[in-house]
Amino acid sequence: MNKIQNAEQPFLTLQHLEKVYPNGEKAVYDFNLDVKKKEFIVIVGPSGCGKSTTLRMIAGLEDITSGDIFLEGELLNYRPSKDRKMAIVFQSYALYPQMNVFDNIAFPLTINTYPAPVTDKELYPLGELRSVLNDTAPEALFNILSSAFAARLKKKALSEKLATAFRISPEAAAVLAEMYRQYAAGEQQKSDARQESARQAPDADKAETVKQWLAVTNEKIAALTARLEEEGVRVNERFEILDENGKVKTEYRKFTPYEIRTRVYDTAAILDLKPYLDKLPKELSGGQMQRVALGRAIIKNVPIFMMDEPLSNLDAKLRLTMRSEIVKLHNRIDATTIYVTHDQTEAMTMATRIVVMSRGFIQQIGTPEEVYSSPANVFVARFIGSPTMNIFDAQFDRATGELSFGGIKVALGREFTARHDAFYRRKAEELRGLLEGFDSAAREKILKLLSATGESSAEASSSARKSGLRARIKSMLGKRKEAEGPAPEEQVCRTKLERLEECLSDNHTVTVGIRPERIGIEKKRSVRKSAGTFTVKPTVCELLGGEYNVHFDFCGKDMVGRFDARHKISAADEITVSFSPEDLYLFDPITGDVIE
Amino acid sequence: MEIDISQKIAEQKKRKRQEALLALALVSPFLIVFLLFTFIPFVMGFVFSFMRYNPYMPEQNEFIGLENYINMFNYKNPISKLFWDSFLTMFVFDAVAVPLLIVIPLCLAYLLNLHPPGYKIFRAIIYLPSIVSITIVGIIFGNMFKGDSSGLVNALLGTEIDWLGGRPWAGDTLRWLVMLIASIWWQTGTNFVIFSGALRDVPKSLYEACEMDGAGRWKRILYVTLPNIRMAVTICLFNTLIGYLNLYAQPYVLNTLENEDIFVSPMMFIQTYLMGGLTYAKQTGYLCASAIVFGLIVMAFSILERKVTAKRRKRTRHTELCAGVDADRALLGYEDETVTEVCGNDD
Amino acid sequence: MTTEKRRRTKSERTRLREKTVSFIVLFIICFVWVLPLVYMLGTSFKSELDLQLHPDKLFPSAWSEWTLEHYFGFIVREGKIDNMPLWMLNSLWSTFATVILTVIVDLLTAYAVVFLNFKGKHTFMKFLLLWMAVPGVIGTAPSFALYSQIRNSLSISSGIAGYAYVYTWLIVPGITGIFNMLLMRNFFLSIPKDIVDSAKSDGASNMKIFRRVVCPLAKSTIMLVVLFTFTGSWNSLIWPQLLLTGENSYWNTITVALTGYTGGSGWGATGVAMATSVFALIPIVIVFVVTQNKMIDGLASTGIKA
Repeated sequence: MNKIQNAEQPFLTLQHLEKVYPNGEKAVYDFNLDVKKKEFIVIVGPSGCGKSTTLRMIAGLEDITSGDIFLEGELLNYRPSKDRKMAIVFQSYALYPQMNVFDNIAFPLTINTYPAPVTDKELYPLGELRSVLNDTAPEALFNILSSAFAARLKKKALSEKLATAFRISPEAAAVLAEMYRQYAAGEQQKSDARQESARQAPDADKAETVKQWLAVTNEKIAALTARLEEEGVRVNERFEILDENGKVKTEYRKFTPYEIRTRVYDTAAILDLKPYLDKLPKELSGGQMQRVALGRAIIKNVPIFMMDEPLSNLDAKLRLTMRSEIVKLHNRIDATTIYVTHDQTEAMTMATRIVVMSRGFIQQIGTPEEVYSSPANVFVARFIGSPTMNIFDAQFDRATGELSFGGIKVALGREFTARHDAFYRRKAEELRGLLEGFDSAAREKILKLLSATGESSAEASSSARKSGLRARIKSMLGKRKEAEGPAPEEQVCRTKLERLEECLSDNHTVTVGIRPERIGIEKKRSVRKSAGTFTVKPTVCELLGGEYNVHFDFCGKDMVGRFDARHKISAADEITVSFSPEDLYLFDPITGDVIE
Repeated sequence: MEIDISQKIAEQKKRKRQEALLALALVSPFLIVFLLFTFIPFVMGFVFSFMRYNPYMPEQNEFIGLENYINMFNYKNPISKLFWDSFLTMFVFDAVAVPLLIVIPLCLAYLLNLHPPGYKIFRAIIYLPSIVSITIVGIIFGNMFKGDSSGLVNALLGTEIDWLGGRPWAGDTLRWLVMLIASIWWQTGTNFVIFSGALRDVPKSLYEACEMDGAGRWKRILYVTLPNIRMAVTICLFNTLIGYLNLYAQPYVLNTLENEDIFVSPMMFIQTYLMGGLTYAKQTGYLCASAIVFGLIVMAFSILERKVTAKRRKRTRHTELCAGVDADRALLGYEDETVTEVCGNDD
Repeated sequence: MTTEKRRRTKSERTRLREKTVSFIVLFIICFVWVLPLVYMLGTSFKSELDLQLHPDKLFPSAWSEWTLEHYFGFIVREGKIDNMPLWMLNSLWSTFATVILTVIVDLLTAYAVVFLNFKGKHTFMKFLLLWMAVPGVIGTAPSFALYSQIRNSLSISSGIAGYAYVYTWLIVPGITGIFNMLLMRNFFLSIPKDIVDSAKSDGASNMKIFRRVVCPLAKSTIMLVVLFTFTGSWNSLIWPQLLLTGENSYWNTITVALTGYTGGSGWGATGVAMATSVFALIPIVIVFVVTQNKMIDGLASTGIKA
């Protein structure tokens, strides 16, 4: 799963990216990310977490409020989106309804100019011809030529057909066609003279002819090269014109219809769209439309692909196949991809690195393994993984270093207590620092903290006021005063700090998480009750095919466990569940962070 | 059990009949009114057009075959001359007015769709004249462009231009100009509102995709905006065209004593003859014939409009061509691996 | 946190420029657009003298020149009761009748066509769709002939019977506008069949479904039809003019009556003409102001679907 990353310098750098909408709503806070070449970055988060906004800022569709975007060290902020060397695939596909698939894919090519090497108009085709004559088996060459001529096409169509077949320019194909025409005419005369019906020349003869053609071509090349040298123009071996520094000269030009056609055909081949090239978008299925949208992106031949929830309009089955297809495509064309989704499964299966976002804040950046096995906070732990991680409260006894829940105690060891103390001291220190001169930066820190715990600032501050009845009455009586008082975030900060400090000296609640797949389930009632083993009654058993998702009540919370479906199980049974202490995740309920 | 089945069928039939009866009862008001007041007159129109018909003297009515139609196309007949002259003036006016009534609302709708501050107010103001009845439009513009110095425009310019005077093809250009201005003021709103609705519904992601593909503003208009509002344009063009072929009210309310009685549109011609009462009653058959001819012309125009704006599917053979290429490549013994080369990054 | 002012990105600048340009252009156009209406309103308050001396002003030239005299004439003119209130009444009641009848007929027909099965349903719809392409002008002359012939044969001339007869012909043909019917039908088609089916399975009769389920859902479409018919009927000129020409002048609708102030012979009493126009505009402007947003949005979206 974890793909090898090449340790190059960052390819795309996002620094302190922030977005504030004109209505004052802040969608993205301090987004920092270094993307390396060929990475598949997935930005994942619940809807409204700012992931699409981030993507659109990178694409240049949304203005950046502050922060910088660099592509290979170049500042992109002020570039219009078309000059950013990026392609984007939209959730709604955004296909032009009036154009057929071919025109849709071809569209970016038809309206832009692209850099192309400057070539010598006469020499370049001859060079191509030479390599074709060198490389192709004479029989195959003659087969194609004769079949092409048999179709009785117009001159231009003929040369284009040959050009596509041999992958050379139409000019080169025209020269080849002319050669064959003369040859065929000669053969015709000969066979007329001999009164022979067989017009097929023997193989040896063909090889001989090809050799002749090659000789003629080489002669021409030699002559033209000599002329170029006289003029003082330098060319390389492919007859592309070089500039003073010995580099290939390039010019910006529009692609010719022929060039566009070959490119579109090739793209269609990659995406299996050939049978649909003449269809209109409305005649396609969702998956096909999605592929057309991908085609339009890859034909631009840009280093960065962006996809904004591209699979969410597809049905479940198609989503699965398209998922693997997109990954395959990513690997095939060596692109760097930034992919936005709300589906954690997509994130886990496709990404080389995942960015988990919530309420505009990055919660964690890491490989799928990292975010799964060592989530940074409660939010990430709950968001990643399916079924969701089970979360429940437990009491931590600081004196003994034991965790008690559901009537049992789990010893966590002395060094945990040390880590725990260090963690809380550090956190308390941080908050104390914020409280000295509570500014907007501090406010954002608190908002980030709240985004991890999932509380709203009003909630958190009102829970703070619960502390005293008097305070509550006061707040009810003096609503106006409250508005003039400190910002709710500062209030939150203060209460959080108080609670953190309490934790350092006292027993307190911690949030415990365990993954459903880490819960051990035995069908039979356990005879001896060992540590971390409970007997529960399942409430719901969902059969998924290979496994059961077994729901049961534990500590007043609904919990889910994974259970192999080889053993039959029903809600009537009693089951034994067990946890092992090393599978438990411990989170601080105040800041939401994992205790470490 | 057989009894059950036949009973069932009977039951089903009964229910179906009941439903049909109910439906008939519900449709009948519409149907009856439609038949009586729309359909029957239409059929009668056809019949009358082949008759010498006078509603006030039924005893004189007789079938005269195609005579009315022959008269109709006889330019020497003074009444036919009136009709065709009026048709011509109307037609020239329409040729100018209809395109303007599409283009101006479209431009305004495009500007509105940029959502400048207060765009809802702008929208309401531009639409407002559409609800004003044409007689009031006539009163306002007639007084503004009054021929003597008591008109607003003349007073402002300090001139005494006879805005509404003149006869067709003889000094009435200004009158048509005033009609054009009044028409634009009056009827821009409807099309404008339809266009802005259509523009609003163009998917935003299409614009963004187009921008990403490298298209500038004009290309975006060409490739995204226009194709996506084509349906609205078709409808507006159709409505406007039909409306202006039936031009009546503008020339009726904007004129001077001098040219009050000159027909400048077929509807004016038909309406005046009908309003003439007894005087023109004997022409009813002829009028029906001219209405049918005029109606057919209108229909021809609407069909033409449909044909012109109809979506023409571009026939392409890319799939076939593609298969041909594959066959050739196979003949040469190439694998298909070359495709990556083209699409891979070469920078 | 950097508080320094950032350079605006190109798209920001373009957007700002676009908005500014469109604001300026639309502002100028809207200014021009309201001028005629302002002129109408202002002129209606000008005194006779001011009308003579200052035709170049939109409003009365001095405070002393403001007058309501053109408005007073409506009720009593030269000692007699004026026709104006009657015209208004004629217009009002006939318009309301048209609107109500149209809505009822359209609702019933659309319900039958969408939710009931009967033979010839599709033929009926196809026929109506085709009929939309037939120019109405073909029917005008024979309709009028029919109208006058029936009138002759029944020898209805004037009085209440004549008035009723004329107004029947004025109102009734207007209620079968196919466009409005299709509007209603299209809306009914967009109602999920499940809603009606579930009501049926709850044992609701067609009557109940119509009254309790379909009609409440169709509220906004009904509004739209009301608005279309209201403005259409209030402002209609050609057909009422045909029927009312030569009749008693107090039978006129306001729109037809106002033609007296237009055209070559009408350019005289500017002040009264303007005041009457203002007066005639009031009902429709009220309707517009109340429903302005809904009307425009409805028109914008239904124009495409129909």
